[in-house]
Amino acid sequence: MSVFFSLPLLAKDVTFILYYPPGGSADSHSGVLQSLLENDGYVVKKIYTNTCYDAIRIVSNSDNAMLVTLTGDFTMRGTEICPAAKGFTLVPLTTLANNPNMLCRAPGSNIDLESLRDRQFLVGSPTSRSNIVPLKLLVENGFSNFKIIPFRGASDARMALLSGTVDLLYVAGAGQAIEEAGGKCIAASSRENWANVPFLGDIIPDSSYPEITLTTVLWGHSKNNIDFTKYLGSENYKQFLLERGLTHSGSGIGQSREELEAEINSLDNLLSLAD
Amino acid sequence: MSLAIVFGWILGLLAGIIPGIGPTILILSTLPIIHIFSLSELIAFYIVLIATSQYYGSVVAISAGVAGEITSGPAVIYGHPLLKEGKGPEALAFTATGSFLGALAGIGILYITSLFYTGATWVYHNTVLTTIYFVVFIGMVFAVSNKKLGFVFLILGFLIGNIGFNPVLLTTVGVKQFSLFGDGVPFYPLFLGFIAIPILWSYYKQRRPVTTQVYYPRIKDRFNLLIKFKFYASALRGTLVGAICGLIPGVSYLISSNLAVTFERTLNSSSNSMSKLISAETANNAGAITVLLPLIFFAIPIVLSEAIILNLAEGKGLGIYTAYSFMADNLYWIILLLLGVSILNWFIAGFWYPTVIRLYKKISNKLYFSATVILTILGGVYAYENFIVWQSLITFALSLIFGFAIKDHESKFPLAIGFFLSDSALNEFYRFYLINLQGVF
Repeated sequence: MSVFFSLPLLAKDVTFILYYPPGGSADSHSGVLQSLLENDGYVVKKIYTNTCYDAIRIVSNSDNAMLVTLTGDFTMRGTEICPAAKGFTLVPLTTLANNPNMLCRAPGSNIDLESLRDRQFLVGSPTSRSNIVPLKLLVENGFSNFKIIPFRGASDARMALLSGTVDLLYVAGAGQAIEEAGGKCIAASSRENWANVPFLGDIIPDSSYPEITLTTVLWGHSKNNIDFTKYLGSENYKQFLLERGLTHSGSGIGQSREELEAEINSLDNLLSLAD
Repeated sequence: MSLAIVFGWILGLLAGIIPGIGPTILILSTLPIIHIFSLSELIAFYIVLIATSQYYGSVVAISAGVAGEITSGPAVIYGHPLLKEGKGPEALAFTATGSFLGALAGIGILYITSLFYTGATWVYHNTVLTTIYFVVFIGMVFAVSNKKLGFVFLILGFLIGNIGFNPVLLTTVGVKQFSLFGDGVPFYPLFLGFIAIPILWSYYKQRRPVTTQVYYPRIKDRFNLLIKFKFYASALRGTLVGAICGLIPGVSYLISSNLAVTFERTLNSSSNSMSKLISAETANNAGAITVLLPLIFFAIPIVLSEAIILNLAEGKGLGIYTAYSFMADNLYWIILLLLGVSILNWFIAGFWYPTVIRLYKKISNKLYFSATVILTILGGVYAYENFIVWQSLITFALSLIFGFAIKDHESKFPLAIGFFLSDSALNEFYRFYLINLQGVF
C-alpha cells in the first residue's frame, strides 16, 4: 500500500534500515545523520527489522535504502549475524562513529575493579560480534566468574541492568545513559574513552588483550550519491561527537572507500582471531 | 494523524457493531494499511480503536440481542430484556454514560501512572517478564472454549514464530540460511489464510438475527436521559473491577464485564438488570483504557492485539527503552485524544444511537464476502511491497487449507499470540534458564 501512499520518487528520499532495537548506538548515530539530512531537504525514514537478514533483503531491493550496521557484524565476506548471499552487492559507504565498549554497574551497586573476581557476576551484552567476542575473551583471560547473558541490543541490555536482571553490562552506546541513571562505568575496551576509566587489557594477566571499539557503518548501493563528507564533517556532527565522547574515522575526515574497507577487514580479522 | 484517528474510530465502531469481528481481526486484516502509519499515528489509531470498540457493542446487544463485541454478553442478558420492557432508551443512555465514566476513570489511572512509571524499571526484570509471558499464554488458552486445541495452537504458533534466525541465540531455527523462509514465516498471509478469511466466510454463510423494533424518544428526551444518570455506585464498582481486569495479561478486559456483574450481584443487595448492565459496561471501558498501560508505558504487550501493534511499532522505533521517551513526549495529546474520543462515543452511543442501529441493520452478509476479496488483494499488495511474494503465496495457500479444515475458529487465536510473542518470549525463557537453571540439571 505504500505505493499508493508514499511514492519514493523523490531523489531526496532515503531510508535507514536497522536490525537492532531502537535506543542503542546504531539508532543514535544514524539519528544525528538523519537530522542533518532532513535539515538539507531529505525525507528520511527509519525502519527497524528483527534480523540483519531481513534488513539486507529490504536494502538490496530498495535503491534509496541504507543499512546501519556495527562493524564486526557486517563484513565483505558476511558473518553469522549478517550473512552475505550470492549476488550480494552492498558496499560500505562510510563509518558514522566509534565508541568503546564499557563495563558498567547498576545504580546502587558497589562492584569495582578490586571486587571483579570476588564471585560470579551476570554480565549482560548485546550479541553483536564487537561486544560478544571481546567479552568472551575477557572470560577466557582471568574472568571465568563472568556469566554472559545475551541480549538483542544495547537498549534491552540496559533495561536488564537497571531492573537488576544482571550485575554488570558490557555495551558501547548505553554507558552514558547508565551513568545518568545513577550507575557507573568502571572499565573500557580501549584506553581512550569518554569516562576516563582503565582499559580492561591493563587489568587482566594477558597483555595481548586487544583494544576494540564499536563502530557504526553505513552500507548501501555503489551508486549512492549522498555527499557524506558534507554532513559528517559539519560542525553540528563534530559537536555531537564531542558531547558523547565519540570519534569518527569515516567520510567526515576524508576517508576513502579503500581505507574504509581496510578498516572493516582489519576489525573482522581481529575479531576472528579473538573468537 | 487525523486519517489514523478517523480510521481507528471507524474500525472501533465496526468492531462493536459487527458480530464476531473484534479489534484483533480488524487489526490483522488491515495490516497492509496501518503498517504505513508513523509511530504516533499507529499508537493513536490503536488507542482510538480500543477505546471506541467497547461503546457500540452494547448498542447492538441491547437493541438486537446480539453480542456485537465479545464483552457484550451481559448487555445481551440484561439489556435486551430491558428493551422488551420498554426501557430501551434508558438502557442505551445509561450504558453510554456508565461507559463514559469508566473511560474517564481509566484515563485518570493513565495519568497517575505517568507520574510514577519512570521509576518502575523492575517490570523489565527477567523473572517478571518471564511470568508475564507465561500468564499471557495461559490466559489466551483459558480464554477459548476448547482449551486443548487452544494449547496445541499456542505451541504451534510459538514454533512457527521461531522459524528463522534468532539474534539472541545466534542460530537459524527450522530452515537453512538463505532458504525461502530463512527470515521466518510471514505473518500476514499466515493469519489471513488461517484465521481471518475462514471467519469472514463462516459469517457470510450464517443467517443474521432480526433486530427488535426500538422506540426512539424525542431528541430532548434522549438528551435528558443522557444526563439523568443515577447509577454512580454501580459505575464505581464496575470501574474498579474493569480497571484491575484490564491489567491481567492474556484475558484483560475480556473478562471484566462478567466479573463486574458477579461483584454487582454480590455487593449490591438491590441490584437489578439496569445496575448489572451499567456495572458491566463501565468495567469494559475502564479495562479498555488500563489494558493500554503496559504497552504504551513499557512496550510490554499483554493481549494479542497489543502484540500485533507492538510488532509494527518496533519497526518504527518503539522499544523497551524508547517507550519512556515516547510517552514523555506524547502523554498529553494521548490523554486529550482519549478524552475527546470518549466524549464523542458517549454522545453517539447514548444519544445518536438510532444512526448506529440503522447502520447495524444495513450490514448484510455481502459485507463479509466483500471483505474476504479485499483482504486477499491487500495481502498480495503487502507481499509485493515487502519483497516476500513466494513466501506469502506458499504460506497463504497452506494456511487457507488448514484454516477451512479447522472449524473451531475461536481456538485458533492462541496461535496468533504464540506467533507474535515467540521470539521475545523464547529469548526471555532462555535468559531465565541461563540465570536460574543452567548447571542445576
